[in-house]
Amino acid sequence: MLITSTISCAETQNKEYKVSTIVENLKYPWSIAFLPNNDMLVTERIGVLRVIREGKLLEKSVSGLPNIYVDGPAGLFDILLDPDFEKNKKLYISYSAGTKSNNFVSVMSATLQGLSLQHQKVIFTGSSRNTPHHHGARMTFLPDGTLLITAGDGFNFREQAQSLQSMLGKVLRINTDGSIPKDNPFVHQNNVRPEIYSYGHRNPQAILVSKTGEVWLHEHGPQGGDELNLLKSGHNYGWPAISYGIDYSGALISPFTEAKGMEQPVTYWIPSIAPAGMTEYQGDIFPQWQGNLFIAALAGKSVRRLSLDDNKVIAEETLLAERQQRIRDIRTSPDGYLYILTDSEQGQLLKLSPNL
Amino acid sequence: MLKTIMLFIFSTFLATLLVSIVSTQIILAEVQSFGLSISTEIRVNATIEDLLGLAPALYLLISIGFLVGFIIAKYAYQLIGGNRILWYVGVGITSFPITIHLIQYVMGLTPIASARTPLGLFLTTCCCIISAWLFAFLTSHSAAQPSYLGNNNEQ
Repeated sequence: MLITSTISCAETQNKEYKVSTIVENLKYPWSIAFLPNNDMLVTERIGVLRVIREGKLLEKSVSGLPNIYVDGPAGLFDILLDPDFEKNKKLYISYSAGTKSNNFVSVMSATLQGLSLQHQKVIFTGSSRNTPHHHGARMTFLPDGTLLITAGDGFNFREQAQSLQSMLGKVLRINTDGSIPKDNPFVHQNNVRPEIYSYGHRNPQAILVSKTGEVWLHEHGPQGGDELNLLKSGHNYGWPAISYGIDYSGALISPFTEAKGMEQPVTYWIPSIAPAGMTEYQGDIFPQWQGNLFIAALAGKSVRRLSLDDNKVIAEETLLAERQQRIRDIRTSPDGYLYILTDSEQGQLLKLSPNL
Repeated sequence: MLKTIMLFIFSTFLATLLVSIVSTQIILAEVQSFGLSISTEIRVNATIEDLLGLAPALYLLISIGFLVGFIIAKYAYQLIGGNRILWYVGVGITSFPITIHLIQYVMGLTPIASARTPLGLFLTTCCCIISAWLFAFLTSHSAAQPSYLGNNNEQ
């Protein structure tokens, strides 16, 4: 644990919550979306989009998904509803497309009609890589309606995270029709990918816009050095020029942890917790957790609750560690409960409610 | 036999040392390409750090490659003949790239970052060639003995 000396980290002793299992037997669930009719959509990494209705997993899955490259960590990733979903039924799906030797992050828009995706359109295709690792592939909307997409460095191509000619290791910003916003930070520079919003990322697997408008992102570090970052347009987040981690081989990645012109993380974790999903709690069910960030940890096999003050982490609490489950994602439902996906071939959807 | 084992350990140790040192310089060159300057002190410290951190993993990869390769080289020389040194140099040329490609094939990634570019793979392979050649050279006297080879291919 190497956040800052002022942060406390403790396993919950007097639990303020109880955990209930809503659905089991999800195959490597990755992301969840809450529909206005109270249904939930859950992506399974193996390339299936499931529906949970009244607490039951429907046998029939949603049809109309694109061809997905499924291999290890590659497959179907995030799902995000359009801000006007109630009117237009539009949603966005990120996935790995292509082949073993040439694959890339793609984002498709579609409308949901019953259990079928219609009007599918690929609105984003990332840079090519030849590994199934480090796709990133989380999405969120900025208040102006543009879409942010995270893209990992592809593992073997980490140096490209510093190259503005590549979309690997970046956060990209596009319009929902796939066009490039005219106010993107590098849009007027030659030989630079105009989609780039920020760069120097490794494998960012969560991004959200807080109630106060800040863009929070966390990314997997190598061995150590997982980061929580406060994202700013056009900024460089350092990977792999600076890092608090070392390579899995034990090798040095960089002798530097900081450098001029490169952003420092708000906090970082050594050893790695492998952060894979995040929500900012803004519900009414747990008033004591208002504004806290909840982070799903794969290697950490827990949920981390971060209390913030002035965009600094002042305390961290570990939740659900006793369950010893890899946690893939955590989201706040519209009615204020916390829903959690566990990462397993027999993945579960868990619900946190107050322990009354 | 004991001498051969000791020379095997020595050659794999040397290869590990050389590959680790070269790997560090390749990674530092990459860091420099991002506009950061590397002082001599940082370079020396980074090299030492990698000898402690990277070398154990490297030793495992190199020694497995050399062990399999040297056994193949020994019997290939006995059965096919030719220049004994070249058989071992062939192991130096092939063992590390094959190991790296096998890992890439199985795991979908290349764990040794310095070997991800053609130049990096070439330089690290050169380190293995030197070590394999040295092993062949140092064992050439004992290998030339008929009792060791079991035939007259050395003649």
